[in-house]
Amino acid sequence: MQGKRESLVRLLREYRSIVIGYSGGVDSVFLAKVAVDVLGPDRVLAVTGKSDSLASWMEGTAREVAERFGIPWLEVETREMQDPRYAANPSNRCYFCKTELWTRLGEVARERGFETVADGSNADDIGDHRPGSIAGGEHGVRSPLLEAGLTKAEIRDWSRELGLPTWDQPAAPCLASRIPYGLEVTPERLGQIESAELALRALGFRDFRVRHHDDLARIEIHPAEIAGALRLHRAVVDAVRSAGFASVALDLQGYRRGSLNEGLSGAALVQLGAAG
Amino acid sequence: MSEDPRAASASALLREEGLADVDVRVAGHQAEIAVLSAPPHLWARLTGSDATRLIDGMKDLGFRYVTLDLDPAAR
Repeated sequence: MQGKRESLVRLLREYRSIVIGYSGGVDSVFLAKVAVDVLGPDRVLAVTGKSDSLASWMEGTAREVAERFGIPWLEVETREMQDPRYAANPSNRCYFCKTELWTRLGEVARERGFETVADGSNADDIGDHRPGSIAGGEHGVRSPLLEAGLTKAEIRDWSRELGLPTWDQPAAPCLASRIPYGLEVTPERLGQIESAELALRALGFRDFRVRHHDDLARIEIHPAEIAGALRLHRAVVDAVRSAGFASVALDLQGYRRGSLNEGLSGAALVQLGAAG
Repeated sequence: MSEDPRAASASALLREEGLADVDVRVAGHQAEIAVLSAPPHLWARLTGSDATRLIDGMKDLGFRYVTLDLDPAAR
């Protein structure tokens, strides 16, 4: 891993100054911390795009880590929800969101004299269905963790060495990722998802997703936690109903990443940003 | 929802698996979810390793997700 660490440091030095798309997740927190260590705080700005699709606990993590580790931090409102192409929730929804994000961050970088805009994509992100990364490419966004070849596991290890509390944080994509393609993304639905997931977390569940199917919540929970969900089913139902769902169903296959992409053909997963 | 021909096929599949007490309905904006309603004493069976064949059979019928209603009494 030493070679990859040196590559990352070299890349950051080449950038000279960077604005980082900073969500409060494992990768962007790590990138911001290393960037401050390498370039100094005057040449780094971590920017969180704030919208209804960002869980408030993620925003909290973003803020707290920035304060604790001396990372200059800024929050900007993003308006993807007002873009009907985003709200209609096509399979390339992420493209429209990231286009808005990188447009806003590009403006911040220009106004404040930063030379580079970067994201926290890593070497494991290659090959997934990721229309959002196309928007990054179109806006000249660099991905130093990916370019240095760092994998998620290596980023977690290094984060731990650096004392970052995010080192073992579960993957936490935006709340809109819980809504199946074709079902409209609205602030109300995002609020229901966040509220139901917080309530389940309060019951002690750790590795799960609440998938929004209009009046039905489909709970995907790690197989190891399914027995607990059955035992606590009354509390689970109450927790999820209080978020505004009429019925609550447990997915028999349990939690798996990217389940909303299952069963869709390559053609249905629109990769090109222009189609839509 | 009762007109969905897959519901009858799903019921037949459940009977074959010895789960005649389990009801099924179709949900989701693309009718992509099978929701099973079962008495609680059958829940362990539906979520255990034996359920793999049932889940595969349901998916072969065209359901993308196979789920268990956690509040069947509300139906």
